[in-house]
Amino acid sequence: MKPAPFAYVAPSTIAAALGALGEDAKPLAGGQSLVPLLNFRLARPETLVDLNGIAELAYLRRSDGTLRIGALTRQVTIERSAVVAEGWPLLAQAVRHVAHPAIRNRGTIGGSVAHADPAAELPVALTALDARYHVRSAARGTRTIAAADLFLAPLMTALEPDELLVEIEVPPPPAGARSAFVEHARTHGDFAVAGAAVVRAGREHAAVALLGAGPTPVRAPDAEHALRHGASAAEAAAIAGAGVDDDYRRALTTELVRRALEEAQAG
Amino acid sequence: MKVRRTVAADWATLVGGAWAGRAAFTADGARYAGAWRLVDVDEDAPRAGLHGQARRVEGWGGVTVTLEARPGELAGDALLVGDAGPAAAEALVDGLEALLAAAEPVVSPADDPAWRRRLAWRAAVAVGVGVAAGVAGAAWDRRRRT
Repeated sequence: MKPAPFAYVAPSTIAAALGALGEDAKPLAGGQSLVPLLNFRLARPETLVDLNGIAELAYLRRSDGTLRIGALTRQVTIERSAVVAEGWPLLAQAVRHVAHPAIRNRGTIGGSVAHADPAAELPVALTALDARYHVRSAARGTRTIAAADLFLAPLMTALEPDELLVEIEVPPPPAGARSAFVEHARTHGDFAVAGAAVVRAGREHAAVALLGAGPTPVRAPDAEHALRHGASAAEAAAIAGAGVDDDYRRALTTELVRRALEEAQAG
Repeated sequence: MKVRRTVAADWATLVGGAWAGRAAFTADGARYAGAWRLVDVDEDAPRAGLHGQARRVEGWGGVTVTLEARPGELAGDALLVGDAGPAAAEALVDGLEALLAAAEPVVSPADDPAWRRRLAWRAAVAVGVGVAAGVAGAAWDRRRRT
């Protein structure tokens, strides 16, 4: 199918993009999710705001120990980055599960977050890493949204129609942190049925984020609490999976969390 | 294959990334086309990651170069596939040097004389308005007391 007719705007600055955004406008980044939606006519924006000409949105930078990712940064950048591999290996582990290289070459990190697909890997990894999202609008300026508050429902975020995600800020992980990302998809590169992102640093820090366990990426606070109080990987995994409704997904989530915890422990 | 070069481009220009773009060259009689990109910047180190790749326009061969840049120096690895030889890697890195040399230097507004003149004018006007308001206020206060 072909998309419904739309007006096309290609701004070269963030200010111009914000001016073009609104109720019936959609920002286009890598287009790996939005373009299929347009083609199936599941999305019918009146205006498509192409962000690909805004060079100031594409960067990956560590400053004062914090990782700052411009919303238009391609997913392949995380895969290639020495900074990410050294400081935030969970992101590099997660991005390798995202579809295929051709898609990662074009797909953006901000696009993956803003699209809020419940089966997407990067939002889950960013949730485990306590990322913060900086969004901007022409009318209200800049605001910061915590990872737990951004995702509201499948394909729905706390972003207003006139707001643009501009930067993802990932705080430094605790000293000695180890991480793992594990998922199950019927074929590699397909949408995952379930998955888990884990960050552990000794007994003090434990972060467990689940993919496919609900309509949005979720943390498993009870499992994290249990880990901080000495629970084994199997015990914590059982706690993490207990909240999942569907039997198959519950069993899968439990097993994947156990594997992720053991992988992180093994380093 | 290891690659090492010294670069003349200043650090701000290199990490600005505006130089990134196409790479087109001829090596061993074959034409190649590709691109150079800035991958990441570690302001704490300081260092930056650069990635370049090109493939033969005709035939089968490709070269990928991953570099770590530190102020004044580039070092990294080149990966050759197919019929691509070391000359292709050298030519790809030559292309990067050309891109860096052609890049507009990144000038901080604080170093721009025109911006500094404008700032000085604004500061002078602000100080002038402040002084005038103070003098007027003092005069008004004196007049009110008398």
